[in-house]
Amino acid sequence: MEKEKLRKEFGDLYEAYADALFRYCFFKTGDRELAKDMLQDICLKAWVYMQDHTIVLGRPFLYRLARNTVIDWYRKKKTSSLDNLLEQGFEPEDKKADTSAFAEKEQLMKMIGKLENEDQEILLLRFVEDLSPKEIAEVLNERENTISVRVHRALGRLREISK
Amino acid sequence: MDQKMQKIIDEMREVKLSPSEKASLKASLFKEIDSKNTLFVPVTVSSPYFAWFHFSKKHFEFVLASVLILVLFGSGVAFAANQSVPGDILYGVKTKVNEKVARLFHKTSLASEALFETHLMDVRLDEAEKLSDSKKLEGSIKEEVRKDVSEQTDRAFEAESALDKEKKNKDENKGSLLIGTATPKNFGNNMNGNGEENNEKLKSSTSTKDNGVPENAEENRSNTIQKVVEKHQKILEELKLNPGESHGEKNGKE
Repeated sequence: MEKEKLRKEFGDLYEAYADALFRYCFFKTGDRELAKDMLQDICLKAWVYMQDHTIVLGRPFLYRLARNTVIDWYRKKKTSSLDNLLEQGFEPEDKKADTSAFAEKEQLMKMIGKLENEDQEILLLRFVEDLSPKEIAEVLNERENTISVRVHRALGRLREISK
Repeated sequence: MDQKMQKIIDEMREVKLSPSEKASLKASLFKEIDSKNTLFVPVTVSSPYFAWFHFSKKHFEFVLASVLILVLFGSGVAFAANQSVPGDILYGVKTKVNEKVARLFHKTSLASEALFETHLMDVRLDEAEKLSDSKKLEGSIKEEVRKDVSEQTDRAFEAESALDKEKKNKDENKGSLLIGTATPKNFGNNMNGNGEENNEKLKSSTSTKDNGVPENAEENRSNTIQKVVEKHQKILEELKLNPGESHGEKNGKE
């Protein structure tokens, strides 16, 4: 049955990308519960698109869904996610991180917070989500060369800030 | 990228859903999917502009058949109407629909219009003759026919007059007015007299061109009204008998 096949595909997709999409939403909003709600929205949208067999649900497409969901949230809330994150503190699920590492993380987050939103996003997608410049280009609807240049510049700015 | 930064990025990558969170969310998603057959089914909205041309096969045959029946019926009515005479049911279709439409097609030029109006003059007189032959040309029908013939003749003369005016404007040296003293308004008066006399009046009103070489087309056209008059002399006399029936008897009317 086609629906059964679709359900299985959806399940596989969820298992493969749920953590990555959650992480993206979390770093963009700074709110864990909100990130989970967003992930649910993204997954339901993906289910709808899956029924349209002309669309290929690859990683860039899913990140684009995630990005649009976050943008919609930003439009409603108009708050800086990173500001919230800095105020609330960065608390990953894994509590095994030691104090020094945590302090380093906070320091890094503060440094990243000084970057422009576009630079933050580029670094998040490139180094945390491990997307290739080509995939990032699909997500952000930019040319691949442009993304490579932006990654390079964002890293440079981050180094400047970290000095 | 230095080791410190790489380590922090690795830590950031560790941010994820707990196993329980992941399972719980998955269950919630499948519950949502299964509660409805499909979610957010794309709905095809027919364009209101395109709907006009959208015929399903089921309806297409029905519509085609209806259109064909209408066309055939309309054609049949139009054909039958062409044979009608004043007093018939379809006469209104003939004069107010068929001829009106045909008139539009003949408005392409003044020459075409003049020929057409003269043709209709011929038609009106033919109708009168048919009625006369079947002894129906009397009373109100006779009056109606007289009025129709007179109006149509006026139109024919006006069309000819307009055409000649146009030609005169184009070249003052060419031809003079086709119609001399015979004007639409006094056509009826002219016809009160002898039919032969009236024909003479028409002939005399047709003057020659100064350049001496009339064009064939113009000559043909100028003779058309005259030919119609000659052809229907009898019925014209009969119709004009109201004020001057005696003239018609003198001319050998039955």
